[in-house]
Amino acid sequence: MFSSLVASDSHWESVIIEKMLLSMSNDKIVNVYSESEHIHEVLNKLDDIHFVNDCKEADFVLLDEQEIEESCIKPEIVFSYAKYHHNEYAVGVFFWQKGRPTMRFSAKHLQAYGLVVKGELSKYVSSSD
Amino acid sequence: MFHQVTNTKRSEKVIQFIILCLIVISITTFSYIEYKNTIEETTDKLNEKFINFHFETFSKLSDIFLRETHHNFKTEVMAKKELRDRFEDMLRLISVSTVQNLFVVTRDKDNNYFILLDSDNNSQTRSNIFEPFNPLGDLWDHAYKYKASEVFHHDDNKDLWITIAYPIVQNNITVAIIGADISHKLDTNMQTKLHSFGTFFFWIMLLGIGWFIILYLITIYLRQKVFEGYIDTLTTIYNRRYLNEVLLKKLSRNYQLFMLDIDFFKNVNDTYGHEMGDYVLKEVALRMKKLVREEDALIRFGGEEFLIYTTELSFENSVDLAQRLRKSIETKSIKYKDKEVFITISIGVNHEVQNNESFDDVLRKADDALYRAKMDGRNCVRVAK
Repeated sequence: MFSSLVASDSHWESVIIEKMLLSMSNDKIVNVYSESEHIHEVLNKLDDIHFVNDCKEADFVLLDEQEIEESCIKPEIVFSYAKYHHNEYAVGVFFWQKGRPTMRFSAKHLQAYGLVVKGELSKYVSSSD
Repeated sequence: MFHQVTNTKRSEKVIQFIILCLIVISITTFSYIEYKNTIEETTDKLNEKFINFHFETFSKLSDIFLRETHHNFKTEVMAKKELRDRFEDMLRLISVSTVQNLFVVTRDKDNNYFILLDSDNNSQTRSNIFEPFNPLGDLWDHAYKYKASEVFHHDDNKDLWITIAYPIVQNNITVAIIGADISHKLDTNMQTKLHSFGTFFFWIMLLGIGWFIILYLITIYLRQKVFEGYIDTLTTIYNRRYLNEVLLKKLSRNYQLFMLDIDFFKNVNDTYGHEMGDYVLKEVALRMKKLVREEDALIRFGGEEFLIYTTELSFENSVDLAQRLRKSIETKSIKYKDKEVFITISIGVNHEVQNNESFDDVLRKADDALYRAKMDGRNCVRVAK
């Protein structure tokens, strides 16, 4: 998938986040909720990602810097390893590490939501996180 | 020299010029290509040395890491913060300005990579220990598996040049990898200098070509100007000035002189006017021009008198040439507008030029022969005695 190192850019981010979401979803279109403008900008051109206004209608929550209300309990994708490490709802994380796009899925949290990572991204599932 | 120049056709000058330009351009291009190749070879050698320099540094660093962690590098580094801090200081110490990232990664039991040490001091970009590391490609796995350093060239990346993965091997097992992302910065300093010199050299060469072309054009222009001074404007053959300033200085040891005069030319002017007279002069000159060789000189000596200077002609050939000249005028009438005239010429040939004879004497003898031709009824050739 990654043939060379790339600097952080929104193109790569959109490709990777889309792949992460689709690898965990059984539907062709994934409903996501995010309050982050950056995430909206990165993903708004993707046909298979649909932003919803109500967190409860979402399949996944994409959590950048913002916090969301506690009543919305949905599997979360976060964008910092520290948040991923301390967030019991975070099923996956995407961040830039030494100029390299890095992702990780938590086997424990995936299991809690009954989710499975399919395809080539399954190798990023970690049981130790 | 002028004789040679003035005898050179314009098309030949153009060809000469193009050939010279092609030669200069070829030499410049060849030199520049050679220079670029040398730069590339030099750069490759420098790069190789640079990579080897990093290998040696990482080798020494690896030795230090292992010396300070006697039992298990990975476990001890993960357990002891002081050790991590000291090792990260060492990483910072060897990190030169070309190194973008310098870190140590290792693998967990699932073979997932994570950061063990990071030389980055910036709190924004620094990786926290145990953060996952995305290996991207086979580089790291190869280094881990084969216990050998690996280099990945980022050919499609503007910011990065290479990534080096250097294995830290303890008890014949790879326990971690020193990773370094290296940019072009230092290396390109040298390249920039070399390329700057190359560009400078190239522009100097171009300037040289420019000067060469300008000088060549100026020379042609000046020669043309000089040449124009030796040409009779009416007939476009050489004038008497050419005879005096050029030809007399270049006389061959064996030359022949032909004096030619248009018969009854005054009648043409009187009967048909000067315009017709001028046209007759032009036409006669043109016909004669076709019969003389490139190396010969056809000169308008004055009025309706012409002089032909030839070299190395035998007596028979001289007479034959004179007769052909005469016939070329006699056989065909000259038509101008609605007028037509039949013209003849008389020719005096001085074939036997003595070694010690002055040009004036040679000329006088040719003139005497011409006079006899006139006396003998015109439209004929007489040879000097």
